[in-house]
Amino acid sequence: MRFRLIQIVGAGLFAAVCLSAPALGQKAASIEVTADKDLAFGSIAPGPAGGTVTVPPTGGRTAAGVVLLPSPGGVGPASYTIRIGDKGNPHYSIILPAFVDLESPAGATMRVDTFVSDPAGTGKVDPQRRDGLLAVGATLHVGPNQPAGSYSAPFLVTVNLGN
Amino acid sequence: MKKTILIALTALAAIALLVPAGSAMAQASDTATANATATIVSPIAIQSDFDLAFSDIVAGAAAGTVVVSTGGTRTVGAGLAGLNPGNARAAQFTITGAPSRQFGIVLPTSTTINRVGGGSMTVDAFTSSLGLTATIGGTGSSVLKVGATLNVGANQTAGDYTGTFDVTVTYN
Repeated sequence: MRFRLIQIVGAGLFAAVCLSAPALGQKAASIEVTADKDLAFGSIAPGPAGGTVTVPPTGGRTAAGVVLLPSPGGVGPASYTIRIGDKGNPHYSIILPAFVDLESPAGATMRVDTFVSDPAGTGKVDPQRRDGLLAVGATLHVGPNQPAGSYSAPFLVTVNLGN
Repeated sequence: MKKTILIALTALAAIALLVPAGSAMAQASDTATANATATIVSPIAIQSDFDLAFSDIVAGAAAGTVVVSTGGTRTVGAGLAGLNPGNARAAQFTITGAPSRQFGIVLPTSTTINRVGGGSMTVDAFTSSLGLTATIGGTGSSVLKVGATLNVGANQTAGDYTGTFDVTVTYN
């Protein structure tokens, strides 16, 4: 009777050790994303009818209905570094915000939406170095005679291991 | 003895079962925060302060020209005579916008001024006190003065001649 009980517990222990083997034998896979650069739409002169400014993830800037001005602070997509530990699956998926509302110190707002990433949807870190770059652009909506000011807001980008 | 073994194995099993729970701490997801930024500058605008005035001219038998400089000085060409030089004046505009921003100025090539009852003259060779590219002042405004050349015909009909011209400014 006791022998049988030991057998049962022994089988349980064996199964438990097998399940935990990846955790004990090697470092668990993990993913880390670091923001390196902000998404910058630069300087813009509004028009009477409003308009949009688009910064694609590949860089550059296009406008409709507004005038783009030289931007001493720079213009460009947000950029991130993705790191995946371990030797496992180098793929990851990307979750972008639906929109974010930028705000000026005076309380005026502008909406940013249509976030686009490069790579889009899913990405893959360098299988050797275990890191990779992610760029995120979006479209800014400028209101008619949008009040002058410096607008900003934080936004979140999430990456998940695997695809 | 068997009881001891059983307890030891049970303890090991319990520890082993806890290990997978520990591995759940490996990060399968991460989030980073960046800022989105934009700078809206004041729209550029231009308003007329003073008209361009050539004042009184006496026409002659031959055509001639009258120049008003951006400084408001009038120069009357050969064959013509000028009266009331103090009434001659360059046009003046005030441009407002974002301080220290560069902008471009577009002047007309020419315009026609007309007399009620008939007769016209051409005004051309417009000049800008700020050139064709300038920078809005640190207070958000700049003053632009515009001069031009009036082309007076031979025996130009006496009378008051007026017309309009456009000056356009745009951010560069």
